[in-house]
Amino acid sequence: MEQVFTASVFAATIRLATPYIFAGLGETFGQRSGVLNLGVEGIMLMGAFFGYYAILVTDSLLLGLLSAILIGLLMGLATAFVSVTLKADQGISGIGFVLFGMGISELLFQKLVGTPRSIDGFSPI
Amino acid sequence: MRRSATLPATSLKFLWWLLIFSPLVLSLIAALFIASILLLTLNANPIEAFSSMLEGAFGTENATAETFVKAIPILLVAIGICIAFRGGVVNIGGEGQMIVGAIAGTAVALSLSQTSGGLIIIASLGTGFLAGALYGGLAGYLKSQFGVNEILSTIMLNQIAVQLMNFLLNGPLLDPAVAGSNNIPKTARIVEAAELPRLSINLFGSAAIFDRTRLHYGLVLALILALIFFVLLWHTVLGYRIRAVGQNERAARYAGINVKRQMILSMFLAGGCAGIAGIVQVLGLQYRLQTDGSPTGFTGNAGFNGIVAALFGGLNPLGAIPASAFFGGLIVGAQKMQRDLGIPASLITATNGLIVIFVVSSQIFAKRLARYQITLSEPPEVEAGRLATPTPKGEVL
Repeated sequence: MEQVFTASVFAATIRLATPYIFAGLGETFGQRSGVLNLGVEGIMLMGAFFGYYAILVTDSLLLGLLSAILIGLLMGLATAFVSVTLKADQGISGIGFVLFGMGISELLFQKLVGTPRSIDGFSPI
Repeated sequence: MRRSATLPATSLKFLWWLLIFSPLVLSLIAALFIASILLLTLNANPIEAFSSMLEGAFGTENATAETFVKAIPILLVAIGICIAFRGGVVNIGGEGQMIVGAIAGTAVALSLSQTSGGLIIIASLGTGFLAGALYGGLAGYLKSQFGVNEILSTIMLNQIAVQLMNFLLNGPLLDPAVAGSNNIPKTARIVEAAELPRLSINLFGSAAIFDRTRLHYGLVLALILALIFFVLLWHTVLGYRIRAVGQNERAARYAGINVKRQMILSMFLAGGCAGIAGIVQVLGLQYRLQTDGSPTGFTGNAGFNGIVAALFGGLNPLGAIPASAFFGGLIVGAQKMQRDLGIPASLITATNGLIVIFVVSSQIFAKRLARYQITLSEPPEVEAGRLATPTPKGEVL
């Protein structure tokens, strides 16, 4: 039992929770405004790829972060256009965005990067 | 304003069908257009890519058979999705229901290995249907009793099914022959008597086609089920009730329809169809349940592609037949495109996503068109020499 409450487990908990925190935070905004955004998975995949690729090309963490934010914004805008302006069924169109994000990120990764290369990420706190 | 006076009835009907299907066709064209732009940015010729895809999907006898093999689970899931969506329940749980159906059906097929052939198949298919149906019905029950959003519950039930499969394939259901080795987790092979036979077609006494391919009797099963559920949805009281609930829940309730029961029932039937899709993959194709551990390792994304095919088939089980063949062809064709042009087959996943988005987005235009049609075909009534309140064009009557 003592091994559960160590500093490293606590750190790992926060590390593993980070994506949930971000995705949950974003989803909160959507749901508060009445849009059930099921495409989060697809948007995250798109952000992950474009951020990663920008860092690979420019070697700048800041640019990678910014391009991930930008692509997330664009995907969010598309979601909003489909769900709000065109009044499409949110549950179904969300699945469309998941498939789209999954397909595009995998396609571009295989075509532009090929074998995974590691990048220097954020330094540990 | 009455156009019907100048047009013969048949061509008017044809135009009406064209209007109904045009959003679907336009969605497809738009999705393929965006895919072409993607291909161009990746330095590939779209025409070359699509013709390679077409050849890969229908070019040879074997390619066509593979297309149908891929279309079978998509069609089975799509039939279920048609029922659920028509009943106003958004079932995203095709993946999970497939997996649960496959697990239960495989377990039955493995335990009945001494029984005679036909009986194993029937018992196994029946169990697959029931397991998927109960799994889908669970989401329907939660929605009808506690108002749980069925979209969220079915997505979460997908995850549970995947983890259940991974657990069972690494433990109780693991093939004793590979236990302890680092092989792909899989069950033992089902006995030969439980396999769905391969399908070969003799048309007008010609030589058998598809006799040396992987095409199996699951195709016949899927086509029969499509027909059954088409009749059920449009020619039975049960189907009428399900569609009434989907069209307008409150109106259905005032008409005395037990809304909760229809919700559970439509999810039950939808889950059952997906469950059959799962067990047919085992009995007809893989002869064992195996996975690479990922959610799509067993289903091959058929649970989601079934949604795409159902939407593209106009939420009609019969329309889902050509739609499933089309999406099966896209999947098989994309593999040839990947070999020929080096464009990853995941392009198709993205295109499918775009098709879903465009189809659901275009429904607003279809609705507007339908309203416009109503105002066109029903002119304002003339009573006692004075016009009834004129209705503005394009408004709901």
